[in-house]
Amino acid sequence: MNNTPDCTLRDATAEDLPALQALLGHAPAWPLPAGQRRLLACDATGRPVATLRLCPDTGTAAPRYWYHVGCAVHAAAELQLFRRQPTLLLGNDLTGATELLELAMAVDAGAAMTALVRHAIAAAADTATDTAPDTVKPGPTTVFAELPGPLDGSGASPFWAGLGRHFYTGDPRAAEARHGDAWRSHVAALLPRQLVYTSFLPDDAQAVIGTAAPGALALRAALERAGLQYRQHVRIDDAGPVLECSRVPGAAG
Amino acid sequence: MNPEDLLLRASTPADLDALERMAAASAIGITTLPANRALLADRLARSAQAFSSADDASGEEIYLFVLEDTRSGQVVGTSGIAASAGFADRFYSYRNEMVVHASAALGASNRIHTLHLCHDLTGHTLLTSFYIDPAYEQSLAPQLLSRGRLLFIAEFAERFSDRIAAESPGLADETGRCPFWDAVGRRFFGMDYPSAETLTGGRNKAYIAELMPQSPIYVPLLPDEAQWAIGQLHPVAELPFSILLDEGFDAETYVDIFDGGPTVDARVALLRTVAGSRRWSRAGAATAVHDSPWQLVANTRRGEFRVVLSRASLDRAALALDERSSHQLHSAPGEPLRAAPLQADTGSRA
Repeated sequence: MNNTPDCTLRDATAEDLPALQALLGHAPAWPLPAGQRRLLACDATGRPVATLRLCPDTGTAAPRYWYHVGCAVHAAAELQLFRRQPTLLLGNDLTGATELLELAMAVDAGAAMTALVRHAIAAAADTATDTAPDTVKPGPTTVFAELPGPLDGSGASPFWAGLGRHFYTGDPRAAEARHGDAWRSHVAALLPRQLVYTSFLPDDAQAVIGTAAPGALALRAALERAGLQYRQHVRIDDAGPVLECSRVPGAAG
Repeated sequence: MNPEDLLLRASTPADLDALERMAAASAIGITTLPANRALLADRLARSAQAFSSADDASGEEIYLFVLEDTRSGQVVGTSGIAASAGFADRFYSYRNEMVVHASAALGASNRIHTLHLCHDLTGHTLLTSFYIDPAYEQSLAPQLLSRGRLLFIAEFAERFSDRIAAESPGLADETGRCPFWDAVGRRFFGMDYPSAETLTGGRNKAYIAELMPQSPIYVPLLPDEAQWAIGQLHPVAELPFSILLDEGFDAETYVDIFDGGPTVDARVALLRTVAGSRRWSRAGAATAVHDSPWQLVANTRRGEFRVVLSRASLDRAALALDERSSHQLHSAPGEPLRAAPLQADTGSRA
């Protein structure tokens, strides 16, 4: 809060629901499941300008999946051949981590969002229940937020069209409408379990891996200012980036 | 053409001109018959050594056979055997596997075709280098050319594996465009198929296979044209391929890692020609036997191996050969012969 003196950070209450709905564009989940918190940044007039939901122990009830973006090198000195390319490997790497989700902010409230995220990173240390050291289980000491990947002119994800569509022929938006966020856990069962070489994907699908939708760029900047970084994880449906940091003591600054 | 004019025999270094002519005429994909005189001469020398060596087999041997029309004295076809695929290294193939991905919540269940890079066929005996002059395709000549090799394997089984495989060229055009390669290999090599062929010709494929993706390939991610090419034959290979299928080879499991052509495999003992073959002693008197069914008849000399098509007559103990076949085989009375019926049912007339 030190660099945003004119904003107040606090937990949401039932009185905040109408303002939250306006900010999010939909009715917020309320009341929250045990262990979760809805945090707010309010401006000098007390109006909420940024919000997020803090959710510890990600993927410990139902499995969550992400692609890890790695690298494969094929080299042969005799042929003067040295080719490297990204690879995708489906996994549950962030299981046990604290997720920041349902993030929303008012126009020009980037600084408030950054302050709110810093606050949330510090709060994550209090809410996480898994205290295993990160050398044993890397997930629980991580705080992360997912950003949506870009869509093409028709509203479809080029990444989904290049990869997911070959493994689930249904409409992803219809599945999401029906199952909520859990649809990604369901669809992961249909996706490739082995390493996928990205050169097998169309160029436009390769190009968006780890790229946030234009509408999420301000949010991405706010998260990065708070210390979250892209660490080679992407969403499985649209390859949107996962921004991550470690919730080390003092991370909130 | 009279089938009795045809002779399949062990090649000799003197067959170099004929082999070079056939290598030039054969399609892209017959990697074991390089259009390179020096490589072919080396191949013939290795083959001559394999046929005549007094040593026990090491697995390194290659055997090249030529088909001769004894009317004209012309060599009209060739075929080969590599004793042990990937000798001293590895033999790479893609193995077809199906995985079923299912989600009850989404009501979806998909069979996903995947290709797994494998070494399953390493050490199998490999049939290679089949080429026949087109003028002889519509005759019994291809049968003799392909299956005569199997009599050699049956006779000298200790020099071969009890498992056998054969590669067939996949889809590619004259310009070297190869749908499977362009969708798979090219992404890892950055060169066209003929260039990769040249790099591997005359040496073990393992050298280049190590550059291929080690994880399974998800076939649905390949372009349609490449998907269709998996397990598809180059048209030039239809004839030898059909002979192998008739022998009992299985074409479902493996494909070539470069062009996606089918690689067939089998147990040697279950092949029709091998299972149907036996050793005979030769009846002393050669008689005219014009109405007997066709037999593939081989002598049993490794260094000077010869096979002919003959209407030999068989009784319980001995095989009677006409004088011409006997002469072609360089067979002496009392010398054992190995024969297999040309048709599956020995009772039928060819």
